[in-house]
Amino acid sequence: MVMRNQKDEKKDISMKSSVVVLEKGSVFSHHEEPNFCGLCAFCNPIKGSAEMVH
Amino acid sequence: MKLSKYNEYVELRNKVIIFNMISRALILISKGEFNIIRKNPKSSIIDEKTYEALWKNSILVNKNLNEEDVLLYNINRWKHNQKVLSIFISFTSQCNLKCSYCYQDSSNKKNTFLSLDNWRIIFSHIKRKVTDHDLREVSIVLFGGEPTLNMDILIQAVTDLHSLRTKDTCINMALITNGTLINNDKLLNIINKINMIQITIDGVKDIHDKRRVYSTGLGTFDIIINNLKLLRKNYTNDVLIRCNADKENFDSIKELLDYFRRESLYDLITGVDIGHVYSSQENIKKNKCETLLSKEGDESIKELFEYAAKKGYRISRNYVNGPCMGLAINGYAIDENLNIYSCPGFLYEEPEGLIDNNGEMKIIHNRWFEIINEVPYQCLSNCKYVPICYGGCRWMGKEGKPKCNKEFYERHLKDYLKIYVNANYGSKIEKVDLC
Repeated sequence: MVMRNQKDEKKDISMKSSVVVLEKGSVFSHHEEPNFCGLCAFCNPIKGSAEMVH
Repeated sequence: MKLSKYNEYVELRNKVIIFNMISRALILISKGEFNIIRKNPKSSIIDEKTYEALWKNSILVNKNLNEEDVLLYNINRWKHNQKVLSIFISFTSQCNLKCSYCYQDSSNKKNTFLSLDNWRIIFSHIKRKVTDHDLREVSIVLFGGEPTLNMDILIQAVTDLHSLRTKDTCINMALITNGTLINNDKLLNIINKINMIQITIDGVKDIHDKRRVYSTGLGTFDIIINNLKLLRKNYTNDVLIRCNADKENFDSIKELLDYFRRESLYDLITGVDIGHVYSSQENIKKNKCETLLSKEGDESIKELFEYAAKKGYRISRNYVNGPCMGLAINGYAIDENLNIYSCPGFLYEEPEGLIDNNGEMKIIHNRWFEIINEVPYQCLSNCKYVPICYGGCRWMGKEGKPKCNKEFYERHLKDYLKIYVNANYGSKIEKVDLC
């Protein structure tokens, strides 16, 4: 009985997904990226360039 | 299930941007759906597609997961990754300009040039790493001084590095130059082998020519613009404009961005990067750098990024600043004499290693190991921004402590996320003003 009520509730008021994934992530995603950190003036632009999606 | 402690949330009218600092995922969700998840991450009225997207991107994580352990494991793997190699190579410590604010240390410079023999040793070092470790991604920064002053060796290096490219090995070359000498036929012949060229311009002519000058005092704006026009005809890859900003040129940088559009140079420019005028390592040690990296300066630079985004320029993920490349065993800088440093900021200081005549790398200074072995336990326990900073910059640090970015992130990360999303995904979402 409880199960059926929960199901009914979900069916009645469930929301359509609004998620848009702009950039996928993974816990290890940046392991394949260059090691430039972007912390200082030297490698910040390079890091940015390497990451840019064209 | 719970929301990751390393999520940053930014409201964007009726939407919320979620950025996860461990996975680096960037997601947009409606405010209504987000509010339900925030109250109850297991709510049954949320669509399975939403759960799947949030779970896959580590925005939702297992309730019992200790994310600090995940982060530590992640960083350790990253530090010792042998599949990626990132190197700055200095072709000469000399520069043909005498910029008013140069932050590359001059006192230890030897004014030397990379010789052909030494380039061959560096190349054998890289080639061996590619072969022995099955490298997938090699990023080389062609650096100086002004690297185009050593034009023949630079061209040889680009040609040699290009020969290492295969379908499995990506060789990414970036040239950091002041842009005054790229009108060279030999360079133009091979220039498309370089993936990215970064050229620094500090504003429109009247301001740029006060700051970025030859030793005679003559300004360089006109020659750089002419060379950009030459690149427009000859170069098909990325051009990044770097602006070094301080109080003197904030307004002029905005004018420069408008100027590029008027002069039809906008299409050539892949991205814009705006940074502080940094202090030299000498001045950092003398405690003379704080005024240059002021909070007021941070606000102004953010305003410039926002302006660039509004004008249609793409910007990089400049809000993800780490970990410091010195922490990675396969990230370092090499000078003309084959000395090795954990970061290009330390060039010409006491070397941390060298490359021998056989192309083998030998570490001789304990600082190399100290930086790599460092674990910022205090940051791990006290700072939610640790995955994108990991203690901060070693070069800008003082007394052996890296420069902490926590206050900066607290004040600016949300705004930078908005600017970034507007600049790079403006067509996907409704644009909003920050103010």
